[in-house]
Amino acid sequence: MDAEINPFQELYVTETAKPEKFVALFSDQLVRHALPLFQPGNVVIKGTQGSGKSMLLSLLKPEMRPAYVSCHAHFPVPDIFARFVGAGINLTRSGIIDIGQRPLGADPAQDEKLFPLYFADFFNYWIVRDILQSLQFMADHADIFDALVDMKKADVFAQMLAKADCWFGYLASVDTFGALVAALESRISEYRKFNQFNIERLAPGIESTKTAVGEPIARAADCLWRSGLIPESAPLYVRVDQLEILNSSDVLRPALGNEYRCVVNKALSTRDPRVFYRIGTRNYAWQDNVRVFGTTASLEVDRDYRVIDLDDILRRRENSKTWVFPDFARDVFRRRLSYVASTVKKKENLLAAVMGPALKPAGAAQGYARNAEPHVAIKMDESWPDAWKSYLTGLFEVDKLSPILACAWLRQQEESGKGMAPFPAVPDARDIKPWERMYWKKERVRQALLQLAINCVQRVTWAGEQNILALSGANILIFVSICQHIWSAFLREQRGRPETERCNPVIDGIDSKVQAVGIHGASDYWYGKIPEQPGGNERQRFIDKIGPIFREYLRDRAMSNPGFNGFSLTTEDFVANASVYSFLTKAAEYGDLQAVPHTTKLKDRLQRVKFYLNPILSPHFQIPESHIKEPLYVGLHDVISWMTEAKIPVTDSGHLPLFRSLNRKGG
Amino acid sequence: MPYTVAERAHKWALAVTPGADYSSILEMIEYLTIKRYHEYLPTIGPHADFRTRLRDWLDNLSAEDDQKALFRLVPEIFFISSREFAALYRSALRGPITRWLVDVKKLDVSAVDLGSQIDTAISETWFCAVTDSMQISGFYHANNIGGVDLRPDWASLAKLGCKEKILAHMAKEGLQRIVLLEDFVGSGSQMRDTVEYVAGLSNKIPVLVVPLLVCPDGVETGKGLASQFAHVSFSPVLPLPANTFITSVAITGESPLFQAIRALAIKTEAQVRGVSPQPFYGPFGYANTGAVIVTYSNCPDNSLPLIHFKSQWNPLFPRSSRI
Repeated sequence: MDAEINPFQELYVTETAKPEKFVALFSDQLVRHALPLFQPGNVVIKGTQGSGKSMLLSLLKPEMRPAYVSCHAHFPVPDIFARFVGAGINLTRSGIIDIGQRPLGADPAQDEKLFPLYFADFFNYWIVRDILQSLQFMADHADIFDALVDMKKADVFAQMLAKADCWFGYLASVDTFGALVAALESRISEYRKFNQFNIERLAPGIESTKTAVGEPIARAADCLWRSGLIPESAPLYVRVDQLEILNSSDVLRPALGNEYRCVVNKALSTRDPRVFYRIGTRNYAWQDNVRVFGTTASLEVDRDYRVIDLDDILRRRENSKTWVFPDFARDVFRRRLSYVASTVKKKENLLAAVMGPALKPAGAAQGYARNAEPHVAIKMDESWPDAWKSYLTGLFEVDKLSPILACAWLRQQEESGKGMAPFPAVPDARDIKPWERMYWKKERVRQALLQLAINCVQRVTWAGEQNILALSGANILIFVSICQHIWSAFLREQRGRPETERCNPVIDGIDSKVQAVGIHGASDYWYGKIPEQPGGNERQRFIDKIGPIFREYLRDRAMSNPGFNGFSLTTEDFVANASVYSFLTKAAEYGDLQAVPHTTKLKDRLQRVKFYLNPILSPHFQIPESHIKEPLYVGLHDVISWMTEAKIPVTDSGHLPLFRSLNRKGG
Repeated sequence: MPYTVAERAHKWALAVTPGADYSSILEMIEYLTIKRYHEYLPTIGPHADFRTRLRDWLDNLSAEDDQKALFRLVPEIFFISSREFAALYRSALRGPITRWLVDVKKLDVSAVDLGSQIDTAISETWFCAVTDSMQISGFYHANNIGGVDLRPDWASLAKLGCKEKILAHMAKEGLQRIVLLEDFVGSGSQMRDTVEYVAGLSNKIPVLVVPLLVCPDGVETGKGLASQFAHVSFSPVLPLPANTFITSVAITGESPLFQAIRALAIKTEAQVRGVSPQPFYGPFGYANTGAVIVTYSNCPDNSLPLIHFKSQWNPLFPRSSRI
């Protein structure tokens, strides 16, 4: 492979990529979990940044189909769902959110009422124009689309649509398909000229012909079928991507963004059988506002729309064999490498070949304690009998990890008062050592490694396929970012070598130390990105507060609580204060924390919610990413105290009016 | 010992070192290697590339902690590339020189045609270098100043020139004042000799001395010249703060790294000096300046010799010595 190319340099390969590049890099692993996208009914596809929403929505674009043909790749949507017409709008790139940036008249209050109506009008014109462009494209590639579009009916279609009353006469003079396209483009252009201050005012004809959101789109679908331009069996799917820009960004005034959001909601609320919307949004941006424009009604999940929650699909379950993410990540990894070096195509699991397995605990311990003296690495208590000290020192010579666990076990015995008078006997070689019992050890091995690293003044390291997958937290963008940092560290190391001594990462793998350096870099990068999102500064301060608390708990030498890298609240406490509930929910929706409902093992059997840092932050805070045993049980006052110390405003508001479970499926 | 510097840095990065992130330092060095260090003129041609020089420089010392200190020093070195110099040339004209012209010509700053008045003043001003180290043609090009035939350096003129001929030339060309520019001024001793010569031409010819970069001692020298001669002014573009130098005496608030480098400079003095025909000015460089500066054209002798001195010691930025 080229020693200067990082296959992961470009983190985001989204719908803006050229179709051929999209085909090469898009992993179709999630398609089977997102099939509702290609079936009738409104669908909201949500997920954290980089979860793959836009990539999946791109499959609805007609221009992707020829790319699959030219790349000799199979279009990943099952054939029975592949006959559709797709059109859409990207709210960020279309310029629609420019509406509202320039006053319309002298009365600001009147403007605030009119902006959502113009937003709806632009939305309609943009999407109908996109439908026409899709039809033209499909007709131009009739062999690929199986002659789905009969352009002989195009002018009839145009005349039918132009006469529809939804346009309020604006298209009255249109009588051909070409004239229809031109009229729609002219209207869009008029909006853009106005928003760019290139004209004094919108043309008077626009003011008197504002259209109701969704209506022209539905009429267009109706006319498509009635005119015979497309068969009635072909549904019309309308993509609306990057919805979060409306109500969770600094781009729009919050009040106006919320109204625009209600306009989009209204399009969904009509449940028109002729057109089906596909909404791409980040988690945090959906549930905040489901009100329908101009009404007090709200959208209802499963009635007005279905939800595809990509984070939920990719999240690890109890049964690791059903975990979708690893194969998805491996496929992305293979595609990235294949794209820059065609010779690597055939290998099965390139991720494992390049990154290797995670280092075994004994090996990791050896790495941390390679040059350490026993008394430095083990930190035995002065009061312990010499026989134990001697035993542990001897044990350290052959096994760097076992003495750490043994010390913890001894301290636990000491704390519980068991066997301390007299002190337990030093085990002989034939004894089964209590600290080596499977579950006792399994639960504490990461904590023991952490403590050994601290004792030896080393950083805890992560490397290998399983560690990379675990740190990715089921987020493909984080996975690609980790790979990018590892590859950068690898290239830096290679550049200093003569060409003849350089490694081929696919054949030789990447050294675990280089991976560890790259992973630390990736962790710092994601920690630094937290403030980029709205409210991120507060969340970073909170995480700065709790991360060191977890680390301090994990330094407990008796290792009595190895699961204290997270905290747990009763659901009653969780919803008891609106500020706390809102803050923690947002932190989970933005992906900075992971929230998991669980049942306590305490006698009260209360339902609880446990919170962990996003796994990619674990190297930054030097705490294990794995969730084992019980987390730190805290009360509401503890969380309020952390928030207050992190300078996050907490109000005294009481219980939430309606409990909203974090585990809700409907979003 | 790991083969490459990157391998070494990665190993160091995995140990806990408060205040030092070796991975980030390596990233920064890599960036500067690609974007800046390749410009260093004394190593263009048949010389080791920067990565090799860095490896050999670290290998001058056997103790790992010493190597770490040297490694951490690299991104602290103020490397001024040709692009930064172009910016300094423009800043010199738009800043201190323009202000001085307004003062000496008593221009009305509210005048509508101030710009053309300044252009006229510039055309009556002779911009020259103090020494040949200053690329005076670069200053003319960066500021689009034309129509000047002779652009001598005054250190040479002071040795070889004839005052009468110089004055005659200025009168013939309509040059009413002199601006002396210098790329880097350390203690200011070289500058003082030259400025004294220029000041002695005529007290009717105003002189402005403009170092682009100047060390604290050089600032004092410049101020002394300005108070010694009424028609001489001194106005540097970028005076370097004292806490960016590693001198023999610690400065309040300096970084722990500088303390380590000071100790290292003293400890390695004999090793750095080695056996060399070049003059060695002590562990903190000429006039004990302790600069941590390298320009793309050379490393000043005011900088720490462990950065530039050629002997058995392998320098990071070998200095092209005048002597």
